[in-house]
Amino acid sequence: MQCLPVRDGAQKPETGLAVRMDDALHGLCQPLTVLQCRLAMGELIGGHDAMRTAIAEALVECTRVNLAVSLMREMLQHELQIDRDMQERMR
Amino acid sequence: MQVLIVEDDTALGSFLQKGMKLEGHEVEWVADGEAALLHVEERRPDLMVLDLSLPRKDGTEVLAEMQGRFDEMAVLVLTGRSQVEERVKCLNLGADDCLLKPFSFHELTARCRALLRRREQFADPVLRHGDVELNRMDRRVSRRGAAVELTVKEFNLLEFLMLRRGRCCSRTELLQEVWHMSPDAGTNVVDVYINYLRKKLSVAEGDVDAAYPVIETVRGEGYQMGSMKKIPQRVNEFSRRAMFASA
Repeated sequence: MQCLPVRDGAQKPETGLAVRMDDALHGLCQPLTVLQCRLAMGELIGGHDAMRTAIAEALVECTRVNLAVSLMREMLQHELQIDRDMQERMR
Repeated sequence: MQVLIVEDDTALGSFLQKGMKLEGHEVEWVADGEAALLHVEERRPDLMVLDLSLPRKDGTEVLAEMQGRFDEMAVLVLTGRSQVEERVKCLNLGADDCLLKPFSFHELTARCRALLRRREQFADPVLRHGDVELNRMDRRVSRRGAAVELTVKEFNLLEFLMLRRGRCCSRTELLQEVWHMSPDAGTNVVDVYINYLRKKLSVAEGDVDAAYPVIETVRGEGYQMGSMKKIPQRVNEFSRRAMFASA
């Protein structure tokens, strides 16, 4: 399975949230494109075998989509934790 | 049409190659910026589908290096980043269109068709190779200004080779693309027509300036348009012979 196409260092916590989010979104776009296009191509070719191949390849891309979503979720949780800590300190 | 895909993501690159082949194009796929520049230099494709995030020279660097040098080639940029500035930069660097990921397969192919249609409209209908000219619009061929009468198949064969000048076309490829026959057809029709073409394009005896091979045989591979680099060497050789003969 392929890794997510994120830039080196872009996902470090010290990098700003907007930059990390932009990078993670980019990482999500790659497998989503393949997923969408691969299914459309399978439908276009038609036939049992073409659809079966398209579905198999699409499922691989779903794994990459899931990976990107978990990365974004982690990022969000990290930011929420920072916010919570700040509010605690202010209290 | 010849299409070059430049994409480092294996899954996406592989899909793009399959998809564009389905559209009937001849497709090559490279995974980095330097390979893309080399390919364009050698093959001169009609369309480049270029991803921006690439190893060894990214998409904008590729565009910057190509700027003003390959105007006959259309460039469609693929990007996963939504900043308008990035797309504006690409268009200013010579890209013809940008497509934001994720995109639909139908939109991709429609945009490619539109770009190629626009290029064809303004493209020079005349293909040139040395002193051979082939007008795709009028379907006329000439050598050194003299008209050469060709049959439909001879014309199609010469056009196919001229569109792919600089690279060898195998017999199988010619059989499939020009005659629409199966590679297993077991026929020597390609060799026969190459001979017809050579005869019709051959110049009158003693016309030494034009005595370079229009179509070369690549042993064990197929045929290609004659290498232009050989012309001065050959002319010199013939000129020398002519000088000795007259002395």
